[in-house]
Amino acid sequence: MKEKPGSFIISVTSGKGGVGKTFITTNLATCLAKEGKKVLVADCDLGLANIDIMLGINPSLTLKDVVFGDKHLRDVIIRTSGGFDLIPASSGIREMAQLLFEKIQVIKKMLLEIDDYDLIILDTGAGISEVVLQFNLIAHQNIVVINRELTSLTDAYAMVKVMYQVFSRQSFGIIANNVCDEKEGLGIYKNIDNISKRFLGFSLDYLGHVQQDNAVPKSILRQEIPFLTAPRSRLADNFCTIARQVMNLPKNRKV
Amino acid sequence: MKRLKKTAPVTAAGDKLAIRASLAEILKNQKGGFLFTEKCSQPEIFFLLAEDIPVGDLGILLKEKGIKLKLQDDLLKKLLRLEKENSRLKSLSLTDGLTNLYNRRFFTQQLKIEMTRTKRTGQPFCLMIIDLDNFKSVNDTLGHHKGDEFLVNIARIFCQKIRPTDFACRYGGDEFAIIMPATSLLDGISIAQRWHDMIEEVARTMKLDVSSSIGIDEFNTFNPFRDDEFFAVVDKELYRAKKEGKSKICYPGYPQKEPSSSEEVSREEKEALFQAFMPLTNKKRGVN
Ligand SMILES: Nc1ncnc2c1ncn2[C@@H]1O[C@H](COP(=O)(O)OP(=O)(O)O)[C@@H](O)[C@H]1O
Ligand SMILES: [Mg+2]
Repeated sequence: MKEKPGSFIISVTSGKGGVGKTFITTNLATCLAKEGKKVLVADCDLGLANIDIMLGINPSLTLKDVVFGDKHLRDVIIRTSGGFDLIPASSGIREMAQLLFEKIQVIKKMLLEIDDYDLIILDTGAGISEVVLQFNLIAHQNIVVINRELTSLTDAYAMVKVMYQVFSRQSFGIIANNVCDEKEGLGIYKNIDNISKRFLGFSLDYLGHVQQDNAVPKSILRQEIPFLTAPRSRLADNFCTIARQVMNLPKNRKV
Repeated sequence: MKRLKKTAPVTAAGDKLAIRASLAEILKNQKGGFLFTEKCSQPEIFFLLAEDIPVGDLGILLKEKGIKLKLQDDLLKKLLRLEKENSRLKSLSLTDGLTNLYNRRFFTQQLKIEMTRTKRTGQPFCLMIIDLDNFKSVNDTLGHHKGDEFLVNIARIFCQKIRPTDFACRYGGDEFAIIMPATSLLDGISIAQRWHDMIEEVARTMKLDVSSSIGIDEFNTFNPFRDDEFFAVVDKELYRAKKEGKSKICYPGYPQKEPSSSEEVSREEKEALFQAFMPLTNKKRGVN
């Protein structure tokens, strides 16, 4: 008898902060949920968790109750307005930011036990701290968000390099955020892809771009999800393209 | 001559079609094939080549070359077949002579099987590689028999304590590979710890200064690796355990000694990134 192979887990990461990881995570999750996929988002930015704030929810239980309490990950899952489920984290707790390796393994084990989702998305924090690397390691596939800034490019490259050198990862998805158009996104991708090929010896997978949308800051202020408020916008269209690529990821694997 | 002796049995044991082809070639060519142009006087070489040929044909062939096929020469053929059967059985044997653990051949097969199983059932499995620390110095100072005795002793403990579903294999001299089906990394690590302690215990009772370094990782459905690649990942962890001071267990994700053991982004890479970035900003300016 065939058992369920567990949920497919991806992480959204970047190295640099503020490039739009959380923004992309919530909108991508909403898009996939709308297409009928069962999606779970885990807020893994343990020091400065903010998905709950972005969505205007105030969860009573968070990841903290799993790590320091006796709760299972399942117990803290809540449904969001985006149609996806969320494992919220708590902001500003120092012990959480530097989780012990053993604690992360416990989280990993619980995540793997949650096998009734089509996709689990881990929204990681900035930097290449041990915790961020660990969450990337838990994920079967890492998605690196970049934008047109030089520091975003160098930080993304540093992330790819570390994951490759420390954990032998050789497969990364790239999303170009905050770009004017498709061409600019592809251009940014090609640059980092070339450098990866040249120095690390492998190519990166392009998942698509998300254009800069001036309505975003306002909708974030209103704690809305742009994909929901403007489902016919170019922005929403961008996410649909990325969503298709993401759902293709498990099939494209070498296995 | 030498080459002939060396290559002929391989051909004989292997590709029958090739033998037929070369004999047909030889039969067709009145002057004889290259095997005969070598001045070869050992009849067994002919038999090696001709093993698959009816005795009648063989007689004709050999007669042409001025060699008479005597009936009792068929004995050679029987001996040869026996020898071949022998080596086949040997190659079929899957255990290591000294320790009675599975051998490397078995391991390679089983690793492939477990990977296929994982892909089918979705259940992860763990692979750990154990390498003994300071074992060489035991062999060097106390002699190989002491080293062998130690190997036999730990193998005995392995067999007693191993979970019935796991496979312990002697991969090389002092290297062991353990396959743990239906086991997640977290469980695998605690088992690795047990094995590490068992080895330590045996070393203590034998008053030897030997410990073990262990590399371990989990293979799951989302793992993109082929069997050799997955093995290399675990081997890399073992190497790290050795490098970071031995007598320890490493796995992907094991806390790094330094913030990260990767090299920093080099100047060259930074320059390439910067250059990649420049045209982008220029383009942007062009647009504006
Ligand atoms: N495509 C976009 N268009 C407009 N603004 C964006 C876009 N992507 C991100 N932003 C802005 O950038 C800010 C930081 O994004 P966030 O997702 O919090 O970054 P991170 O999670 O990587 O730290 C958001 O508050 C949002 O206003
Ligand atoms: Mg964020």
